[in-house]
Amino acid sequence: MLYYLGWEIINLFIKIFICIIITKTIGDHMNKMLLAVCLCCAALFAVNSSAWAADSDLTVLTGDSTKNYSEMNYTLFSAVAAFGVLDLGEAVKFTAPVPGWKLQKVRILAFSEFNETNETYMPDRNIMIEIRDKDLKLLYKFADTQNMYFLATQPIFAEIEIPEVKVTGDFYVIYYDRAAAPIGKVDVDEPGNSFLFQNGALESAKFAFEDTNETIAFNWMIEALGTK
Amino acid sequence: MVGISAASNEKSSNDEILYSYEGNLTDKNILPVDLVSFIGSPALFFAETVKLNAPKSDWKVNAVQLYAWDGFNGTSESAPSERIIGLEIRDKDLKLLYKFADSQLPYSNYAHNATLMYPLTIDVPQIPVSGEFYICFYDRGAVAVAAEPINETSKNSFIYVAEGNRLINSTLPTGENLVTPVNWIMAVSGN
Repeated sequence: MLYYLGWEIINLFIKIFICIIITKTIGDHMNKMLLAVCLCCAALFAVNSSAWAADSDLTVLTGDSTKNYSEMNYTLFSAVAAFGVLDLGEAVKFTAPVPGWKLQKVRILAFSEFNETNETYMPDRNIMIEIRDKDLKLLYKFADTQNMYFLATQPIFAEIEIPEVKVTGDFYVIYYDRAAAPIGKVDVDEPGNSFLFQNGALESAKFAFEDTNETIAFNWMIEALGTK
Repeated sequence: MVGISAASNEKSSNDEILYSYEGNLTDKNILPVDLVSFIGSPALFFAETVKLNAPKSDWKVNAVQLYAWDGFNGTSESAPSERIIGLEIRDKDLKLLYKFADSQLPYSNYAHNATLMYPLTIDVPQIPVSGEFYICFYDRGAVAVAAEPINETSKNSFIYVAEGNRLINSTLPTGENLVTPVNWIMAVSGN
């Protein structure tokens, strides 16, 4: 619980920070009502507290790792940078705690960089998520601009709310970074529940180096949140 | 001041249309409002929201329409750059039923070579709703949405605040210690 609250407090400050840096960078849409902005930020602060209380009812499925992400030694991965393709997704297999478990949010660690020095950031581009059942049948699909979720000076674990999707047994959350917001990955010795997904097929998330015969596997930093 | 186009592409089949307003739009004083300009960057996570009542249980929403203006006034300099707008449908408890995001360009007045507020229509998969439900539109500064200033706080127009999953009154700051209540101009078709 303490970890959860701690994370939510960090999340709040990240979102306020996003507001501040967007304010700085889209001046053409801003007017001078700074007082209103401050009041709204204050309102957001109050509002967030109640949201967290509600969120505490959600069960968090952590996929491959049960560690606090701040303790992990993660790096960023982009399917476009690694393979030059836009249609490859980073997938994590979860298991619903009970049949008909209601998936309501996904949490993804990713990064759309805000450069503090020159106050610039990437133009809006789309990222996408999919929810698929154990047979990879598509249950839900959504695309939106990366900057609404991951714009920050460092990678952040952002929540994406989804309409309730009922899942039973194994299911998959798939994130398409599209080079807009690379995803966090943790290197591991053995492949776990993390995969690469493309053209309806899954492959374990690992790289094989032909010259050294070495294989490196990794876990995507994706979590699933829902209720019974 | 931006006028409102007489054009309309509301559904004309057997669909039933629910309106967030009464009367004729041409008789109203309509203002284009984008929340980011009025409130500031927190409004990127705020949505113009109307509460509607489904005519019967499991009534199926199939399109949402509002009037919007993307800044295009007929000059090449005013051609809008691509931004992303968002739409949500929520039930009476604000539980998310449907969520959609896309570029504003295929929908807004620029695509129709119109220089006034123009019907912005988003078709949605049939979403069953019962009783009261909410349409939440995130302009994200990409378009200004038609709003009717009113004298008293609206009972069915709101601003939805994503953080905290809550509604606040649809009032706009119009000066020091001054706010103006507004009704958002929206229509929903379904069957």
